[in-house]
Amino acid sequence: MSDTKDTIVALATPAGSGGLAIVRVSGTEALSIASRLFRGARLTASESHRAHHGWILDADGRDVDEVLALVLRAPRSYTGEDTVEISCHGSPHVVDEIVAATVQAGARLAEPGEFTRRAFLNGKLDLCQAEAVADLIAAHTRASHRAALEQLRGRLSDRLRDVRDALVALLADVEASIDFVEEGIEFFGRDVARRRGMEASEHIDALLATADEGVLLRSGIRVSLAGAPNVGKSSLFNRIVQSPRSIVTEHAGTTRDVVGETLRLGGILMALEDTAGLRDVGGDPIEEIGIERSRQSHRDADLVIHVIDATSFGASAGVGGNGRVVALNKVDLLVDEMRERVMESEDAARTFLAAGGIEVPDAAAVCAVSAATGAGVDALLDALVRAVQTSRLTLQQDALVAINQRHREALVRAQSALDQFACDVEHEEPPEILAADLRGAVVTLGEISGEAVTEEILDSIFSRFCIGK
Amino acid sequence: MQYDVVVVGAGHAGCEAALAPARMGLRTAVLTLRRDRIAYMPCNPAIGGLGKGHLVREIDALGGQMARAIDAAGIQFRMLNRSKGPAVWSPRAQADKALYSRVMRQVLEQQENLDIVEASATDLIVEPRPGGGQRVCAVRTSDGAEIATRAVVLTTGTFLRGLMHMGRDQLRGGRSGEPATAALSDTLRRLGFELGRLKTGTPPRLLRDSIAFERFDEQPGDDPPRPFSHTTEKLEIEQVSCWLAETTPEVHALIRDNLHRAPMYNGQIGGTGPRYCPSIEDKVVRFAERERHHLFLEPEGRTSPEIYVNGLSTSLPRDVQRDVVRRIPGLEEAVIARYGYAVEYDFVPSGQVCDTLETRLVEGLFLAGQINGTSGYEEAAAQGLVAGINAAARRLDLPPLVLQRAEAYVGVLVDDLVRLTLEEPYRMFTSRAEFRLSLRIDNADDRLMPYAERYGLLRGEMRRVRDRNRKQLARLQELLRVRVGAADVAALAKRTGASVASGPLPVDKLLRTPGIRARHVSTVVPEMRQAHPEVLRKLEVQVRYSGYIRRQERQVEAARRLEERRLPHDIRYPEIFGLSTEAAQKLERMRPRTLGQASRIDGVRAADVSLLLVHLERHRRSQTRAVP
Ligand SMILES: Cc1cc2nc3c(=O)[nH]c(=O)nc-3n(C[C@H](O)[C@H](O)[C@H](O)COP(=O)(O)OP(=O)(O)OC[C@H]3O[C@@H](n4cnc5c(N)ncnc54)[C@H](O)[C@@H]3O)c2cc1C
Ligand SMILES: Nc1nc2c(ncn2[C@@H]2O[C@H](COP(=O)(O)OP(=O)(O)O)[C@@H](O)[C@H]2O)c(=O)[nH]1
Ligand SMILES: [Mg+2]
Repeated sequence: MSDTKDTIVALATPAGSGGLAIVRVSGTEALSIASRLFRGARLTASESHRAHHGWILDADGRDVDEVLALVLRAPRSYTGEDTVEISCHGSPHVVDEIVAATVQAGARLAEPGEFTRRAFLNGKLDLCQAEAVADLIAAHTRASHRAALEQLRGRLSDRLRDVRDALVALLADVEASIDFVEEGIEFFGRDVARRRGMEASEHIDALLATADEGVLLRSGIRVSLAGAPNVGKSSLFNRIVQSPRSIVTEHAGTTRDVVGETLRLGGILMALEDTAGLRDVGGDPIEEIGIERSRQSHRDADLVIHVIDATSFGASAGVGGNGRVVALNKVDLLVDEMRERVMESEDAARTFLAAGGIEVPDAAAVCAVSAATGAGVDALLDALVRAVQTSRLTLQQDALVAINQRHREALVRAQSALDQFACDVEHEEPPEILAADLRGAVVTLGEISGEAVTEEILDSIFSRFCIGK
Repeated sequence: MQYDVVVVGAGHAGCEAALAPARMGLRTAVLTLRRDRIAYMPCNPAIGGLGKGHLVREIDALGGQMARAIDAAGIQFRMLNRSKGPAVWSPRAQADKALYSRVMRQVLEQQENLDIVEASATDLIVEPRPGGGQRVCAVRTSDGAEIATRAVVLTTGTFLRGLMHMGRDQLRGGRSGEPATAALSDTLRRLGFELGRLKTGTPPRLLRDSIAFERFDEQPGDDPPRPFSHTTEKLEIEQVSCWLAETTPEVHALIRDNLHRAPMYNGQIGGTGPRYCPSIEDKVVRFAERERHHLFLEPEGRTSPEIYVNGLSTSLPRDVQRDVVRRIPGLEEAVIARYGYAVEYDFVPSGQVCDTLETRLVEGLFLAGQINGTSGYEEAAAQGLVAGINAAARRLDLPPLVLQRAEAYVGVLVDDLVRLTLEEPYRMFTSRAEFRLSLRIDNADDRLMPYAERYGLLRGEMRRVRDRNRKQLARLQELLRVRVGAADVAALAKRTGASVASGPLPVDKLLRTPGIRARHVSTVVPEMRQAHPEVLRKLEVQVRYSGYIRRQERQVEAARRLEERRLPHDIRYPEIFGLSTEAAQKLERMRPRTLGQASRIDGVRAADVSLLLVHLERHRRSQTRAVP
């Protein structure tokens, strides 16, 4: 991990995004470093939240750009540290020069996400918000972007906090009925408890309903290559992965197993998996395992590309399941006329398959390709993106929030604690049991945004009940 | 004069702190301002209550005295929360104050190795400690004597710069009738301690003969009364009653009209009072919508002429107290025997003692009781016992007594004191114990007697009771599988009105049936009748809670793992990359011993704990790499 004692600098606005750019300098030395390259007011003497007009100079004292320097003193800045935000002209050249000058003056280039990490560590963001930012930086994909932004605005945090607050209040009532019997007040009605437990439960359900999409966006959409052995799945896999359009971000897997790469295509993260062929193999246990894995991969996949060998339909299994895209491969081996026809028109490709006895559902796209030459691969990628966009996998315009895997697990655990609570209320279990259930739920939800419990419960009790001798 | 351990103060903390080392064979002295005020109860005449009753049971299992003293001096016993589950049952008793004090004084006087010294401690003498820091070497008293010792336990209660308030009147004093101690506050400051200020109050006492008791609801004791101590077989006493009274809107109006004369509201008092024990003026202001507040009239003793008005704590001037009391229905003729007052005092805010209750600044100096920011006799006694045992353990080279939160309320209490920033006097609640279902009064012996044994505090009768309970419980557990015949099951169902399946059933199953108690089952399983009723109850609770306790065990396990990650004692928090400033400051101040403790310090967040983990891991790796 890098050092937080350093003062860091980086472009704070998206690269190449038009007229203005902001270069952010943050850290204990931010003001003195910025003032060294700034001609204008003395920044070190400036109040917080004051903008100063002036010029940025390079190491040789030449003017680089006319800028506004905004001074934000700790802790009232994004990172919680002393910060100077330099608004300059958006040209990449200017930005580079300003950043270079700042580094010359003693700052260090920020690592990706470092501003946000500092903000989090300085208590400016809660865990949820920080995770959203981390996702944002990691994903950098368009669809994910919106969900991540939503989360950043704290909607998930707000929702979670609402649910958690409601549960803390309920727990406080239960606890009060245990710890303050001497007050002679019965705080706690079972019907009310049941209702309030159910309300919280419903809220969690609603959050969980958005979770599937959230997980999809974070880990990418799973795309699996299916088809008989030797139809060209692995060759196609390599083609796609090497296509300049798919930006490959990760590598994993071994030969007989599932091989996977994560790629970014049309703003969507995709986990593309190559699998062993589907065929009954006599007795080779390793192959057997490989095939079982591929079956699993197809079942788990959000999208399957069925690969069919244009020169030999015989071995092809039916096209069904989640398959939305059919790749008619090895078209380079067809006679020229036939190749041109299937490559030009999807209908022709369908007829070609139908003639060979292969029915393709209307919903599925058919693309003629050659893994060997790369012909048709671009069209296949377009078809993939379209398939994702038209499926339920697309993020709705008004999707509430996206939830990452950890949130999801926490919510599921909270939900099961509430189920237990409902069950225990039903069986008229005593309040200390109900309290244990609720505390489980509250602690779990607290993990999402990291807070402690007991003092909170006591605060809630004391603020609402008149307790004491 | 020279002692192994010197305890300053003979309040509830001081008594336990003095008895434990003496019983462990060390020469011990206890200093008190007045011998006739040993274990005195300056506030309500009761021991126990929710959470507090649990503490008393635990003190007993650890070899302390409080449970036995209240068994001897109690005049009314009640088990609170009987309608709820056994984890939150908690004993409470009205005490005969004078008798309680006498009983405890006798125990102290008869204790071998223990001297009672009637003197005021005025100073602590320290010397440089080999290897850095300072260590205690003597206590100086008001008569000029120096008592040499290597271990001192300070339990001075509300006496440090105590200031009593009643209306406009202010009086220096630790409590009514006793002088304050300013000298020790100065000593502590000189030694480098930071002091804070808290306040607490007490209600007026009324003359018994001036009260129209027939106008109040009577609150009798349980029949039969259940004792606190594991070793008290039976309580054979005649119990007295308490009475339930109420305030009225007129009373509240009167208080509101006189708020400007209340020290709490005119700025005269700076210290913070407890929210759970608000003064009547507090209640009227903060809960303006309430038309009535409960009051309990509790006798101060079997024959004492005074009645304590629980719920009417106040520091209003005398004339207002008089008027307020007389507007309460049933108290129109009441005569105030002693007026209520508030007291402000110095305490030593958290972070300055570690989990053995020894101070970080001065080796051999321990703090226990109100001086640590708690209130309550039971909280004080529990700390006194821990500090006493640890002061002795240090002399005897035994491992210190540090109880985990999953083990005991005493553990919860000490852990809270070490890590919480107190804004009001601390008192125990069952909700502070996250492992409440396992910390019950019925299993205090199983949980804590092993520790008593480790320190040689498992004496005579205690050992016999423990052995009996163990043996009988093991036998009962075997009986759980015994099948009860169909006819007996039917008879049980009829007698208890519980709904049970017909046909033969194992004991285990019967005990899980709502409405059927172990004593019912024992009528048809004769062997069960040989067990002591306490042991039968243990069995019953074990069976009923087993499912929940299994569920909780996973959490206990997770907590234990964090507890096992020790933080190096030389760790420098401000230098750890990325810790929030607040966390770094708090950690530097509190210096937790384990990651578990660190995670519970307020202001330390999940992210900080992860960073600490990373730091520990790096530290560990760099160390293993250093080894060729
Ligand atoms: C007015 C008042 C109201 C209270 N109200 C409540 C309440 O509402 N609820 C509640 O839970 N608790 C209340 N308490 C607190 C309760 O009494 C204490 O929490 C408990 O007694 C603390 O025990 P302790 O052992 O720490 O100190 P204490 O019981 O106060 O004992 C202190 C001992 O130290 C001795 N001492 C002090 N200074 C010296 C010295 N320099 N040299 C030698 N001996 C010294 C004293 O003689 C005394 O024996 C109240 C106390 C007072 C005074
Ligand atoms: N001519 C030609 N050969 C191909 C094409 N795709 C795959 N092949 C060949 O077909 C054989 C099997 O390919 P492979 O990718 O291993 O198929 P898989 O078993 O489905 O993974 C290999 O010899 C490839 O070179 C293609 O588009 N055109
Ligand atoms: Mg292959």
